[in-house]
Amino acid sequence: MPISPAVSRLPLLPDRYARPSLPSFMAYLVAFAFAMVSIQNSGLSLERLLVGLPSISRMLDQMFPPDLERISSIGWSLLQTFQMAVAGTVLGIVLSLPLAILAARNISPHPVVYVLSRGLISFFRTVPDLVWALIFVIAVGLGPAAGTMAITIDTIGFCGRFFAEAMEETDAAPAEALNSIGASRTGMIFSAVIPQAFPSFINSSLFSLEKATRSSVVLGLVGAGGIGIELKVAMDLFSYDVASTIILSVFMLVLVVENASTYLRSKII
Amino acid sequence: MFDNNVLVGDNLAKPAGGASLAPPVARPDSLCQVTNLCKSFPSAGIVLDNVKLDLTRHQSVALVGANGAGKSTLLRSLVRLIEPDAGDIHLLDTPVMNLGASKLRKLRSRIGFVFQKHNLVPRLSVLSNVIHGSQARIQGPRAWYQGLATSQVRADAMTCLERVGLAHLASRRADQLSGGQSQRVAIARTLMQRPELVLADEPVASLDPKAGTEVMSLFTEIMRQEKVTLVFSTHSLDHALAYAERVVGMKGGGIVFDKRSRQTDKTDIQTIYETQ
Ligand SMILES: Nc1ncnc2c1ncn2[C@@H]1O[C@H](COP(=O)(O)OP(=O)(O)O)[C@@H](O)[C@H]1O
Ligand SMILES: [Mg+2]
Repeated sequence: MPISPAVSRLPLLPDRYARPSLPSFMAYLVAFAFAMVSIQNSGLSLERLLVGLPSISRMLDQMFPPDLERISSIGWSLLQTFQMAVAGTVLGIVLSLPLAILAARNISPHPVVYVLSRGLISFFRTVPDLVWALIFVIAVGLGPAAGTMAITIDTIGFCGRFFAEAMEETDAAPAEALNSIGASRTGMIFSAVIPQAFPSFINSSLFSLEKATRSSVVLGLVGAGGIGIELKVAMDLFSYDVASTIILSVFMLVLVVENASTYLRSKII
Repeated sequence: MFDNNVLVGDNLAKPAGGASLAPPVARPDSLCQVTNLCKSFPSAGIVLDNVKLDLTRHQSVALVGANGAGKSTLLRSLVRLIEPDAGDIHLLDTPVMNLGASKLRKLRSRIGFVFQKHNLVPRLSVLSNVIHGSQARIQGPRAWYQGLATSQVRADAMTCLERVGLAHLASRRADQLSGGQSQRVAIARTLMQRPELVLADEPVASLDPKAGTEVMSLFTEIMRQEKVTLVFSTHSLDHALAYAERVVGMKGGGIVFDKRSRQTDKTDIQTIYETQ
């Protein structure tokens, strides 16, 4: 029998939009108002932007053509910057793994250990890398060691969390199969949990290398090694043509690292 | 002589009445003795209801029962993958209930366990998965990945794979196997373990009937050759009768019959599948 739309009664359709409850409506309102006030207080104004335009254009004008005379010294310090990123990331990854094992709910040896290691990882992650750099500059002095340490800590904060979550998300059955035949906890972790989490480890590690490359540039601004300090000096001396060379080469480095990492990701996973 | 239970102390759940003063006397051919085993889950109520079961060496046993009868819970409880609420278990002359973690591991290493599915680590090779069976006796990285294993262990693992007819798939990734192949690899891993008893929880329930029959015949044949006792659960009466010498029927968490398979008939089966 053909269904006649006129006759058949439609089941009750849900509303297009659910009406918010009063408390959530109030919350939206407060959030919206706060966003508006924040924009207001930032001091942004079209007027100031217009006034600033000539000086920006003057700067852009002096930036081009970039000064290539110091390209080789810039190249070297860019290499040093990248090496800081690589060293910090590698150390960070190596230290993340044991910490992540303690911080993964399904394999952590004890709830107290779990909470403590989760807390440590969160602490590493929530303190900005620039703050870590400032601390390490004071501790070990100016130079790439401070930057490398800052990146290491930052990487532990990032990889520690994502490694732990990757291990928590693994299928428990293969590990239980090993548990049932008397395998040790370490055996289970290394032969059933980590192999399943491995693609995710690679993914997080590559992301953290990209992140470290970008932040290694900024860390130089506080004297923690790398090219950042040269950018700051060039800017302070109004050598915008040198600055533009530095900015462009940083841009190239980040681009290369991001593309290489995308390629590796597709290759390995 | 002191009762072992008294010596070790009573930190684990024991029968409410403290009924198990003396463990049953082990007969020489006894493999496993279960008395008064109880387990309930908050969500499911009573799942094992005073189960009593004796297993004998060299006698293969099928545990039959409808879904939810408690077969898996019973098998897992035997090696305390599930912690029973009460009761007593003697396995391979060892009182199971009071074992500490490391003794329990030792005991488990003597007992193979094949699950219905997801036995294998998906991203590792078949060979690595078989080598994992040696974790029952070898500690450390050499038992984790085939690349790190000694030549002896690798050769042993290949022999085990040959026994299940899958030597040609040694380097294939475990997640690229068919269901039947995965279960055969799980059997190879059990062989690698060299157990004295093998428990299998519906080992072919997720395979199609043809593959299921193939795997069951292979499994029982290998266990017979190795002189290892096989205890498996199934909801297929045909498998129970064909592959076991003894059939134990479960229903509602209790054992409703326990017979030689020759003497098991239709009426027994009706008792486990009919509604209460
Ligand atoms: N971990 C668990 N938590 C809660 N209920 C469970 C758990 N394991 C099993 N059950 C319940 O116990 C009953 C018996 O399950 P099971 O032993 O798996 O039966 P079978 O293997 O015979 O199908 C079922 O009702 C099931 O829902
Ligand atoms: Mg089951």
